[in-house]
Amino acid sequence: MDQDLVVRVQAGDQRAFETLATADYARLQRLAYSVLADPASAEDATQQALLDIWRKVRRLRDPAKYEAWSYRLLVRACYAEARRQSKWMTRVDLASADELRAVDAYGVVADRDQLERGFQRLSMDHRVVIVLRFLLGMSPEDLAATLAIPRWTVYKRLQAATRAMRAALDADARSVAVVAGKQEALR
Amino acid sequence: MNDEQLQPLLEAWLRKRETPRPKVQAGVARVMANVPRTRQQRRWWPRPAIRPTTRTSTATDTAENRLRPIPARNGHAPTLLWRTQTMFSPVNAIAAGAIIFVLGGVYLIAQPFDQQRQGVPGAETTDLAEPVPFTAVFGSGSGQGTPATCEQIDGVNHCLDSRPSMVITEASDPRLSGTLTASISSVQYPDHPAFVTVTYRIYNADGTWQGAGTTTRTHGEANPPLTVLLVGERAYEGLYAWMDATDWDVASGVIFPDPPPEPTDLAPAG
Repeated sequence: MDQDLVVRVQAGDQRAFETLATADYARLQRLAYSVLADPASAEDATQQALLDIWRKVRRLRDPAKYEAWSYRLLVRACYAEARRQSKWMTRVDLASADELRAVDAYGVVADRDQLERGFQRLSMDHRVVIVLRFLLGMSPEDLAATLAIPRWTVYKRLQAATRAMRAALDADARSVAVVAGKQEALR
Repeated sequence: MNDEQLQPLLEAWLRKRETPRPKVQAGVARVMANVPRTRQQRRWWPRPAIRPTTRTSTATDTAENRLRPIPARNGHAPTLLWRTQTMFSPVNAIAAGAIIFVLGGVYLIAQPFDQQRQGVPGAETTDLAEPVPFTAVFGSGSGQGTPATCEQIDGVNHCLDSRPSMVITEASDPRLSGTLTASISSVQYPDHPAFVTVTYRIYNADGTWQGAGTTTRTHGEANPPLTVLLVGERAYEGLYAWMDATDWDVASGVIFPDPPPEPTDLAPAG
């Protein structure tokens, strides 16, 4: 990230901000979508985060930390977007019979779908730490700094999130085994 | 499935997860449409110019002193939970010391003028080299004094007696509190005032005052005023109390830090 660009934005240069927003949009949108799992909400959160960046950029003391700081604003925007669209909770898909029909002939469900379902069952707190930790590769220290929460809280959230993901995968695996057993019996 | 199996699975899934193509131009255009009417917030105090941007390293913050996770024998990746660097900062310590020093100095200097002679809090109190006036009241005697013993020589009585010990009930200066004894020697001429010398001794736990005064006393009359110079001993070494005893029961005077001046040597006239 060009720090001079950030300094110019701090000075109120709108053209510099447009350059910065264009360069950052895809990065922020990908993170927002990873957390919210909804394209429209991710777009809204990204645009809101960029507007927050413009409004608060003068309070950024060290331009070198712009990237982590922008993630913090984006995560806040994601929280706000999730609260605004309370229906995101209704998108949580439980393992339904229709999904179980997707079991292939060998009784194996793709890991990708299991992970998607497990991830959608997570709370926003847990989604955020999972995405920042495993998508962006942030260390727990960087996570704590980005989210402005104690490091111990980061560890607790990470532990709870991975436990929930593991439980979801194990539950799916058991369901698949049961359905596969029933299908075998029907034959 | 354990954490070691789950973590690479999560990383691979998140990185390969299909993300909708971002509408960069449209999104940026929407943002920029709102920028002109969005006011930038001012920065907070203090300004970044006076804040350190890099962490100050300390003497103990060296590579060999940092904690390192101990490699696990079972192949698990250990997680380092606690801080690996010292919290001590010489800069912060010096700044805190300077603040305490300045605040303490201001507090000491800011004493009201009328309280400064009574000593400044935190400062060692020293005896002022100035005379200190005092008053004292002698209480009732305890015990019995020595009966007067007299010897007549050439028609003149030489007597010696002592008063019972008296407790000094009120003393404006604690150095003159304690117990007082008085011994009286007198030379009594028939049909003339007696020549009387009274020796006072005041003692307490810290020290002793001793001294004698001379006066005359007419038989049948009240005790005349008596002036005594008491010399301090032990804790009161080097102090002199000039004491004027009224009726020998109430006294007032001054404690001097120096001895009285020597009498002037009067050369014989002529």
